[in-house]
Amino acid sequence: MAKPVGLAISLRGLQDFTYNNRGDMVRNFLIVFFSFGLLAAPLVAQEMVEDVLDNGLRIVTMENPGSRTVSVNVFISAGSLDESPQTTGLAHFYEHMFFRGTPTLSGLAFKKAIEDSGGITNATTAKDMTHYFISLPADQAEEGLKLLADALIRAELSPEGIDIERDVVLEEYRIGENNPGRLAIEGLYSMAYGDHPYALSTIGTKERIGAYNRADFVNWRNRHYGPSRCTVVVVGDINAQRMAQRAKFLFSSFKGNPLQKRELVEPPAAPAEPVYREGTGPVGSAVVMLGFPAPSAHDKKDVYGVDVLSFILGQGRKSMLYQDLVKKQESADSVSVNYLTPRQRGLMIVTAVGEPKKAEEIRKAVIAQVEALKAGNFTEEDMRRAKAQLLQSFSQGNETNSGKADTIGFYSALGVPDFWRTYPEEIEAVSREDVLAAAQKYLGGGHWGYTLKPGGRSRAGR
Amino acid sequence: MKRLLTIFLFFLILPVQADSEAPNRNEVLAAKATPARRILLPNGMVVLLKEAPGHDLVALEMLCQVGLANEETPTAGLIALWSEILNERLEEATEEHYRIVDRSVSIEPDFLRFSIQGPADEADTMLEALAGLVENDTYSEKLVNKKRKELVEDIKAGRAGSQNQLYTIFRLLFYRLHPYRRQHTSGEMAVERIDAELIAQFHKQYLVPDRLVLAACGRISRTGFEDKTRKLFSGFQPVNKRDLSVSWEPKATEKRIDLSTRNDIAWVVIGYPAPPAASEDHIPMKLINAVLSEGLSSRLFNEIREKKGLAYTISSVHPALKGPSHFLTYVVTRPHDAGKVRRDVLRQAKLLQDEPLTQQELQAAKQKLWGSVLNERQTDQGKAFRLARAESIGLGFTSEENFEKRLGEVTAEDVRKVAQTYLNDPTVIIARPAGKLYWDG
Repeated sequence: MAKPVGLAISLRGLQDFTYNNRGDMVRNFLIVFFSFGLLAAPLVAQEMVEDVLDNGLRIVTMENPGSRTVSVNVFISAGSLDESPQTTGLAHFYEHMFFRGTPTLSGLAFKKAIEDSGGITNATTAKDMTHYFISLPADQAEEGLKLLADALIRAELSPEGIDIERDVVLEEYRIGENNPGRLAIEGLYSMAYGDHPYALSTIGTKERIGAYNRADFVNWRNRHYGPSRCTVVVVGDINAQRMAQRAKFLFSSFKGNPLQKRELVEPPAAPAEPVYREGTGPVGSAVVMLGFPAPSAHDKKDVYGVDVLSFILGQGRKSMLYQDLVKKQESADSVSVNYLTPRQRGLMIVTAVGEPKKAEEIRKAVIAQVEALKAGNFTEEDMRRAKAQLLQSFSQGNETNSGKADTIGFYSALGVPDFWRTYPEEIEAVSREDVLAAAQKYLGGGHWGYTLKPGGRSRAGR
Repeated sequence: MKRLLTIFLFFLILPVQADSEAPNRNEVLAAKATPARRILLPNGMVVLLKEAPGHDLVALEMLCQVGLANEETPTAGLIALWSEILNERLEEATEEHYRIVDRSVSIEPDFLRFSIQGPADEADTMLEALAGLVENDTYSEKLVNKKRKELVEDIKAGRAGSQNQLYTIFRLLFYRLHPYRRQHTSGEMAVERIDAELIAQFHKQYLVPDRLVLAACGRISRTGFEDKTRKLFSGFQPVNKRDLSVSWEPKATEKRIDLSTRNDIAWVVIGYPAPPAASEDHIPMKLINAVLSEGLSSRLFNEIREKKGLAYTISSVHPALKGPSHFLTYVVTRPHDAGKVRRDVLRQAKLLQDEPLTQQELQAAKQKLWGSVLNERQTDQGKAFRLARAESIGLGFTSEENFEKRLGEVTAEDVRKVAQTYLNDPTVIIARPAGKLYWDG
């Protein structure tokens, strides 16, 4: 899937990618433009300012007049893709530490300043990025920006704060232990990515969370929190020009340490034959997941094809999988397909839920439908439906200030900052041949399957 | 530094029709400033219209005023099962209209909620789908059986979460015989007793125009939308059946329960009575929530987590209900610290009764509350839901328009008086892992 739209949100925290290593290709520039139809949804003229500072930091501000609110965001192109088994969970733990104050402002004062302004703040860590955001009344935009800049540049990382936050992170870990969705997807990712960092759980392991100290966090910041891996996005009832100037002033002192050149390891190729495993968890039904290789954000043309393909296959009640598994055979209670565009080779995931005794039948039925799609057994009406649903989801996802900011920052953090600009036209242009080519390329080889069945909370199959 | 390169106009290609209908910036701002309009159909149905033409979207929220108070105890869960069936029907009714990607039927204590949104040129389809749900009062046993099976699965899955379990227990203790004691999906045995005939009867009695509030928000033409709504909904006949009111008095209770979890954590749940949403005490009570337990800078967060490190998470619940509501705080802590947390929460509640908020605190709480309202109003769906809910639970839709003014008028003394009225008779639940002894000091 392109940027997260509704159906993909459940997977968002577990799947993603990383960072912009194209700093040398990015020119310093300032563009002011008015656009109609920006992000597809708003048909109102909106002013947008985009600026890349000398230090490589990208700033995007966009006006949404009359909204009365503003969304202030910092995206860092670093996530669990940058981790190893020794540093697993560090990107997420650091995200928690971000809110624990600076030498001049305590964590509590930081949170109080935001909430007393009528704002809320939070953050997410994913495979490819870490995203910090504040939503608040528009007249408080500059205050929000100032607070985020301060935390980004001067997070204190005190040992006391680390110990307090460690308990919070461990609690989050425990809650996730009981989550069937997480168990299943972790099982699938470990199969599909082997020793590659995408296989690592974003939350990390209990043992590593318990062991991190201040030096680990300082080292993480030094390695990954450089300006060339940072995008600041402000969208709302603001003056875009003035806000861009303010952002430039606040973030221009963000130096970061010289970053070591990043050496990314290629994910393993798909196996020649399908590989299946099973595990057990606290579920009443079986969760059958099948993973197929999928393009990275940099294979743009393939992304559009796989986006349409995935909607033909598994989005909505008219999709091939729903019609066959749920409606015709009644073997599954629900079925869906998710694909989030990652920085490196991705994964298109089919998830079907049904009675445990039917797990095998469900898996075979999914594969039969995938084969049917590869053979071209879909109609022009299927094409039209998939495109309409994709575009409407994209449009609705961009209704709010935070939705727009999320779209802009997400692609920037992947190193493809212009991806969203032409997304609607590119999807419209996808042909039947494009879909078939994508199906042959990505669904033609082997795949991975992980089934979670009722039982204890074991993580068998990892 | 910066090098100014380009200034250009950038147009994305859009369908001609949509482009020609796109309003300009001033029109958008003017529409946002225009109040919602209320239309009362002769059969008692209320329609609320709010134009928000900025996006090519229309959101419809239809609330049917049927809730927990309308269920009989032996068949509790009827509304939950019914809503599953209606949800399936709503999806079926719109499945050919691909751009309608969001629709759902869900349940709240006081109403059944129908949500649907899509592009503006599908507004008629969405209205027709809702009217179709009201019209179709026949139910097949096959469909009921299918949905019953799925619901029972959901009930079992829902019980797995500690917070769900504790909320169920809290409501039983707190509400005793009041209908709000039930959760919609509390018992699979009751669900087994519900058949197609029972659901059909319920439909005829409750999914009727004099219980319906329909709110539309987005790029709508007021007259066109009103005409279509009248055409589709005016033929339905009202039933004019009034609900019985149930008297209820709060009573302090404390219960300690064993958790069947291997996690070494405890939950401290403390609830107080809260006013109905239509009460003038409702906004001050929301301010109490803001000060005491909402967010990362609340008094409880500061005292229990930041200063003393006693808690992992602190959260609160304060639903806007037509009848007697509750204000509930959850704290997740270590088992041996549960007693300390209990004392601290009760102490902080007492402090709100004894000392008025400072002006700074009051202002911050108001800003926090106002910010959350603005956030909810960011989407057309959020705006439509807030309008419909306000009308359904007795606040009246104008409460949305003048919320900011009413919030501004609340004083610190108002907040203290409400604290003195409601923060008594706590219901306390402490849940800890079984098989150990705890010293609470």
